[in-house]
Amino acid sequence: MRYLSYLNRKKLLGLNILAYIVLLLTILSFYNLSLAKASYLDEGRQEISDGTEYRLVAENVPFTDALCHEIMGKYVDLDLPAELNRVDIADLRAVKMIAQLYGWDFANADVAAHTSLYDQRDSLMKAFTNGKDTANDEFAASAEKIAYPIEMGYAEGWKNIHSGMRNCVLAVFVILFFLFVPVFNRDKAFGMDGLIRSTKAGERVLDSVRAVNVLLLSCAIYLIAVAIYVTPLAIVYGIDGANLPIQGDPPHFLSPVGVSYLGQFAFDLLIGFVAVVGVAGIAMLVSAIIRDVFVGYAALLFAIAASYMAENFASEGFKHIFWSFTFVGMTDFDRYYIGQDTYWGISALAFIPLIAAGVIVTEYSFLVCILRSKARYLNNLLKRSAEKRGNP
Amino acid sequence: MNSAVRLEAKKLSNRNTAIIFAMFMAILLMQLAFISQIDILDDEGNPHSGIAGWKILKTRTVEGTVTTDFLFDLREHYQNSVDKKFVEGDVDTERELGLRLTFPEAQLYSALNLPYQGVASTMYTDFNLTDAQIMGFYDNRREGIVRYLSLPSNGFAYTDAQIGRIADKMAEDKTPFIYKYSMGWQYLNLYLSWTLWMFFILLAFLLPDMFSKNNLKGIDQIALSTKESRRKLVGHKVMAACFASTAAYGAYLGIMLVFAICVFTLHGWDASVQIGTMCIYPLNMLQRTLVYVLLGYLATIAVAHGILLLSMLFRRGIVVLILSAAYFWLVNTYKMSIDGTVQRLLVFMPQNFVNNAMDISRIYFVGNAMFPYACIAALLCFVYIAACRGAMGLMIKRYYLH
Repeated sequence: MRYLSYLNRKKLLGLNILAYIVLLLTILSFYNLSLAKASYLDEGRQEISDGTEYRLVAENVPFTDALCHEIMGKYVDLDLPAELNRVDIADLRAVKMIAQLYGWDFANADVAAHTSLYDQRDSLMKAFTNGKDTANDEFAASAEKIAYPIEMGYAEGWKNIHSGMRNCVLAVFVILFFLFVPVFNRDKAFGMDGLIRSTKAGERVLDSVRAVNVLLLSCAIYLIAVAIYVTPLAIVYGIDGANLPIQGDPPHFLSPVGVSYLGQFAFDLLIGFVAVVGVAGIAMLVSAIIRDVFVGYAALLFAIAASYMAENFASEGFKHIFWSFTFVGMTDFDRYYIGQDTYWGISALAFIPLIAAGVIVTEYSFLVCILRSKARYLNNLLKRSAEKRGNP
Repeated sequence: MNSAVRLEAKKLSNRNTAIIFAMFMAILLMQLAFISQIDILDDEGNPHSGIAGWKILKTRTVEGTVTTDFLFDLREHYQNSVDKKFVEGDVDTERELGLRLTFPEAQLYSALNLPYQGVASTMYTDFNLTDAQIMGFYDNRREGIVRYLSLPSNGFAYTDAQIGRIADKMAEDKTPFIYKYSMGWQYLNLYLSWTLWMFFILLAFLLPDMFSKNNLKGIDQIALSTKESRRKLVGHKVMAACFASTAAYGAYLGIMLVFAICVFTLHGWDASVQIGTMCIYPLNMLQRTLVYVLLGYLATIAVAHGILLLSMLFRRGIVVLILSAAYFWLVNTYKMSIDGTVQRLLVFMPQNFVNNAMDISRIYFVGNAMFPYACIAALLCFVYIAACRGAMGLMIKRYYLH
């Protein structure tokens, strides 16, 4: 059995194929690094070329009322956001966070003078969630659990890892599709099905071995992909700031999820893992149901295209109810931290992976049923033909 | 049709092909439905959203020959219309109503304002021109386009002499223009530009096994030793692939046409292309669409040849599928890149051949002669087809000999 499993693993993912996959992932990883570097050019600052400069200017400081007032006073004369390029690089992110609370008109400092920074943040978050869900109070309460004052600092490595993590998981999806859609229908194509059925182990044992191997290889490919993806980013931007809260970054400042950058990466990794296991199951299901490999690929392409269109064109309601639970949808990691999605008071970060886990269990149960019924059907066929020949 | 060609074509038409084709068409229809949404106001100023809004746009559009009298009447119509306050920003449609409205005659207003505002300078374009501006529309339009092409910030690579040639060409325009609701034709062209790469992926699903299947089953050896020569064998396969690609292209085009008829209607076939597009050639909507359809067809045949060449080269359908699909996806992804090298390379990619093929932004000069990109694209198609045929001929000649 172990030898059979070893042989099957070699057949599913030979060394040469693995080398191609590693090469492809490495190219994608460096491409992602170039995208991360280019994203800093959007800030339009000559001092910043690829974001590593923040290492020199971003100190670990708590974002307090005093700091907020000091920065507002410093730039009260500027016409923001038009003159954002005149703000010191060290203050740039704090300015963007203050603008989320009080608007860009720093001259109108009344609100800031009478309202505490974090009271304003809490009231804003409550206002965002009002009327959206029946359990908003619980949601807003979870926002209040975040430790104040929020500490800011250099964590560009973690930020970039998070922002490109989705592409990494989607690349793994595509690789899994191409590798594992033919897993159960190769025998027929190569005329080996009759031979396998007449072996001692039979098709049923081989199918079990294949399913387990697909699952193991999917996990291995995912971990390899994440390692290849993370390494260049970690080398260039470092892994400083792992314990800083994600709220220290302007896009996540109003996030209700109280988690550090390291925690965020762990969540992303876990959700990606759940999605990869789900996609491996889908690839096997397609392989078990659809005999022609190209039709299988077309079916998966159809699913990806439908999901892509839903992502770009569908309403938020549709995304909330359906799309977020698809394996492509659940890899939109920003939705968990920036979006205000809750389901009966439970954060999307916990609810969606739980439901996905349930879907995966159902998916694998289906797979087992299909493979068993197929094996039973083929055995009956063999028995009947043997009986016809008078050799039961 | 030669019986061998018929047999090769028969190999392509099976249940799996039909399933793949049906799935592709479903994706296509979903895409068309998503991109054909519209937000529009009715006669009372009430907003409507969705595909049915095109019917309102059609009934509300004032049509006619674009003479000075027509424009004076149209200006009066605009001043009294329910659209005015929305066009001029008295109501913030995007923030307050969550709508991106389309207005009747908006394309005509854009063309009229082009000499004064440039191209697409504001979200919505009003119609508050003076009498003198209206009376000088055709001359001012020509000057406006020349100015637009001359501005370095717009990134055109035309020399002054070339811009002069373009202006001369515009002077030959048949005026007055005819303005009509012609969204069916315009969207048909857009659909073709936006979805042709998806259709090519479909071809990559249909044709990759053209040479590999015979190789895997060991039929190549038999086929190559039959009465038919090797060269003829390739010819039959290529011919069958061309027939299959033609049929697929016909079906693809047919579905888009039916969709366009149902949603937009084909009203306005004789409307001038100068309004609503940046084309300087004196064509109507029907003629422009025919040019696009023909280019799309030539690109299809060129791509089919390319896939067959890959199939012969790699002899594994899955490799051909992965390479082709990755190529079409990558070209589509980088279509909007601002990198100069990428843009220069995109000129040679078949899936871009129908992209603004007759527009002012894509005119090529050879000496004094001026050609729209459509001519270059058609020429490239023939070059690609000939190159692929030549390469396939060479490969089959050397097959089994080395």
